[in-house]
Amino acid sequence: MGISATEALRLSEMLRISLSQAESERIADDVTSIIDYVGLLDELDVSAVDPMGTAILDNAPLRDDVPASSLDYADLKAMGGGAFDPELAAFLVQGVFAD
Amino acid sequence: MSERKYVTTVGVEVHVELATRTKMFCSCLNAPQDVPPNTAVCPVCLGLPGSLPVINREAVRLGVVAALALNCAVNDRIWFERKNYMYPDLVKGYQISQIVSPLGGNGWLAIIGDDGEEKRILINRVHLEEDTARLSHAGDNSLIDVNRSGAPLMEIVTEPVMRSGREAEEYVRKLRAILVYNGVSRCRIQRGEMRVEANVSIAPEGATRLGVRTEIKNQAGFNHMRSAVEYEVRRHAGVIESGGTLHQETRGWDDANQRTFVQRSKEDAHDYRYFPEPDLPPLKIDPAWVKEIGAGMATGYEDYVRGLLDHGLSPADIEALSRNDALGFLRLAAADMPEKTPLFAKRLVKDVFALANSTAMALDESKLRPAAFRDAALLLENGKIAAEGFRTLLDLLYREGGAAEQVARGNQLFVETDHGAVEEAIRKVFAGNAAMVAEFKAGKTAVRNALLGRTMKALGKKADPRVVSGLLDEALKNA
Amino acid sequence: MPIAKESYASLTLEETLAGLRAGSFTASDLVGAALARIERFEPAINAMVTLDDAGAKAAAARWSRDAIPAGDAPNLSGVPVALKDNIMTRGFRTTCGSKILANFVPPYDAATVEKLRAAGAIIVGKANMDEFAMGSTGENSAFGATRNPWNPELVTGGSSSGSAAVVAYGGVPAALGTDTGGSIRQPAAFCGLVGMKATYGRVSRSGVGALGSSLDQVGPLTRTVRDNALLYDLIAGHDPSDSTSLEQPFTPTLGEIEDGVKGFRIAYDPGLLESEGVHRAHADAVRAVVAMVKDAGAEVAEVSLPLVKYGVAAYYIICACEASTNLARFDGVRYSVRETGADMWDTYSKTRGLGFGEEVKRRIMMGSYALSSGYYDAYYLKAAKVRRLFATEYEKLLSGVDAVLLPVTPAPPRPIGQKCTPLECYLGDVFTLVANMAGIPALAFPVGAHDGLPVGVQAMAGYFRESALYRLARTVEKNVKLPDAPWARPIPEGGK
Repeated sequence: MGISATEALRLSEMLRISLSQAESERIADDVTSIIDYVGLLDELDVSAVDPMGTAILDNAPLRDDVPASSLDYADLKAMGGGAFDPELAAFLVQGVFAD
Repeated sequence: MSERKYVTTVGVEVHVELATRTKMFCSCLNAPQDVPPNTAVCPVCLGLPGSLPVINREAVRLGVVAALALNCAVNDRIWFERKNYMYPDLVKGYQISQIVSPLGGNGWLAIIGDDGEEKRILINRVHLEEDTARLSHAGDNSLIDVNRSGAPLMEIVTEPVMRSGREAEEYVRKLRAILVYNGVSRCRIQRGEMRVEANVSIAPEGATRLGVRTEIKNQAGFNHMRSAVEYEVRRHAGVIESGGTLHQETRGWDDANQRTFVQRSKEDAHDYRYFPEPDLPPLKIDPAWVKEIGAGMATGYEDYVRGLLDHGLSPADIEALSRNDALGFLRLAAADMPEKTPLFAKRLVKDVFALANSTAMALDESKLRPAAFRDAALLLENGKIAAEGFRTLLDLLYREGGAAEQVARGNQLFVETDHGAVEEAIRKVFAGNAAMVAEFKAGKTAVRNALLGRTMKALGKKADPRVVSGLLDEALKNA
Repeated sequence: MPIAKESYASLTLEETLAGLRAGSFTASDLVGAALARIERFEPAINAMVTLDDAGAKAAAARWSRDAIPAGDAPNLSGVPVALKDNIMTRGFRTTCGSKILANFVPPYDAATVEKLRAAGAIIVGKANMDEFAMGSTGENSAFGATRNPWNPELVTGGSSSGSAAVVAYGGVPAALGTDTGGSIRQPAAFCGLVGMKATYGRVSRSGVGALGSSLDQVGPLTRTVRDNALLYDLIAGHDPSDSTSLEQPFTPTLGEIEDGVKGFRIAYDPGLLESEGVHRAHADAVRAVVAMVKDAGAEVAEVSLPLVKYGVAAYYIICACEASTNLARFDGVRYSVRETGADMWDTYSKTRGLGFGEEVKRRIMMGSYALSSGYYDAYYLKAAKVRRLFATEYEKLLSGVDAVLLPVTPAPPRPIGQKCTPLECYLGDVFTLVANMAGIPALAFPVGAHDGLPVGVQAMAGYFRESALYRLARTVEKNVKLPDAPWARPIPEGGK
């Protein structure tokens, strides 16, 4: 098992992470060696075991439907990055017109 | 080309925004379009690092209401998953949704099928999730409004059991009526509070397998959905008969040209990498709570409609109430006094729908709340306000909202119950119109109505015609 | 003997509090001394990403002697502390050690920060860390590696590298770190400190940049066991804004800390200490603790921990899966560093490609692969099932004993810059990640020194039994001397 540099590139496209050819080769090799190592788990029979997601708690708390205060434009502006434009009252990004 | 030899199969997925006060996983206001853009936002719905979701009890309750109203079984232990994909309107890069353990499933909703018989549309699942932010476009840029991000959303998925665009439309209309009636969602299509997707396939009669399926996204209205389904049925038949190949894909509806178009092919399909949301433990839905919710629910929608007939409402009135999505409104208005249902129904049909016409604003877009409407109708009924005052009050409540008593007081709409004030007004009218009074005394009784009119005018909307009329006659007798 | 002014900052938390209460020095003296010490050590160590000199001085000025609460109720009035840079601070830059957040200023405080502020603590700044807490050396930071104050040629361990280093060189008496697979305990051990990873859900995660959400816990790093318990008591407890926060009542641990270990049953796996790759000094440290607790009246049990060898494989899958989606939010839309591309998607890819370091990209890729269609059952699901085995086995084991002893790491800290493959690096977490997998508390504490470097031991206990760990570590501490610790050294000569 393992992944090729080509598969790594395809994965990186889905994840929207640009990788250089060298990076994708290195990462493909690393991921492959980790996957090989994970094969160790095949020694354990877990067919009858329930998976464990969050640790310990088995019941999520519920919140009352009561409004609390929200952030204001100054907070959004102060976050840095300049993506929030108070004039337009919006986060501004390059146009996304199709999927 | 004939469609007759094919069997059409349609399944429908509907998303509705739940009518909670706050969002699904944070305490920001769930009123995305009622407040300025990006003001109902916090670290959680902005997806900032370190922010954590906490489930809104009311969203779960409304989900249970919907599940019960749709005859679904409610699961006693559910959990949420992360649905991973990247898009600028998805602030965390994943949506908290449900895949393995939906809130409810195995339900049905009855419609009148194409053959005229009652038909149960099977509901596969009802699950809870969160909405995305809203994208709009300005020149070369896109603008993101995070107000809608994290709004509570419910998805209702049918089995592929509908046989035509008509059945699909009938199903969605009925579903909407039930959800609005039960207060689950306001389902305002134009606000995106209800969004519909249909899966369509056709197969030769007698075939054991379904044909290739296309999905039609986000229909702007029920008739659009029906047109789109009917178009797809014709398109599929055409492709098959010309020996072509159908592709599993997502299509949109071009209403101007009355056709569908490809939005996304199967090859571009996302790999959502669902896995259990580690920030939320599983949620136990106590059967006792479900029972309590069920007990607190309104009479079933169908029974309610039958009950209206028993209350003496005409089928025409019921049709008008239904067409205006006012059945839920009526139920809420009459919740504490079901015996007044006919009165409220009459006022809705006669006065409120007139306002909807004159203001070109549908009831569900207006500021009129059921409780305010109820109080206004009772003020009229009890003679606290007059007909003219009622119409003014309703108009104000419809356009500006508020509580009936308060608005009536603020606008001096209560009738003058102080006879002294009415008598004083009559004295003034008599003094200013001595000639008319003399004419009346001389036997020309027709001037009485003119005097009444002037007195009413002097008193304004506070005047109750019955009271004024009586006192006027008294005064004329003694004049 | 009066304390030299420049040494105020290297006092313990308890000594600091006592000094402030007695009026031996003021909060301003203390913060001044802390900032001076930090300034002199930083060029060699690089423990801090961002210092808040002005904010700390202004906060200190508000803590006159009269303002410090009297009595001995634990609080932190006027005491300088540092925070790992993945713990959100309102209005103050928080980078998570990543270039992609180089200018991010959160509009909110983490729940633990709210608690520290309410207790009167003065936050002097944000400590360096491996990017998004991915790493166990402190070298994977966009702001440069942190060096070990005991020997700057060596790594501090990670990922709470800066939090450990700044406490170790005496910049502050205490710091908060986060621990996903050992990220508090391992640098604590490499720097001669005490580090707590509490029961999962004991300390709120609200406002902490997530690595593995089901594994992460915030915890204190201090120079003494009592200091650690004091700080832990202040940050632990239920938080309704974290759905994984435990509602079980919380009893402060400091009150029981001197109760000793008489009557405790303490377990260890002698076979594990003999296994390949475990450094002799680390195995000996466990044996030394076994002897100490026996002397102190505890019963010792030999047990076998057969699952340990599967931990790394299962842990890295779960952690990478959770991390891969936790980091999807850094998309170049709402955060600072944005590399503008030809279109939106190009901007996303460039921002993430250039903004994330290689280890982060590797884990995002690994995690996404393990969750993807067709591989989910073989990787994520299987790892989640193995995790259940861990939880069940340790719950059973720890219902019969008060604590289990393990080394913190197999090997001592490596030299800075020494290459290792990702897998070799991950194997260093083999003993610490057990507690994160099972959700149980674990404490690392120093036991002695070897070759001029501190050596620590780790104790794990059952759910909610942090108090037992502190009693054990406090018992051991009384027998331990750390010669020539960096916090006791004078300020180095020379300027920046």
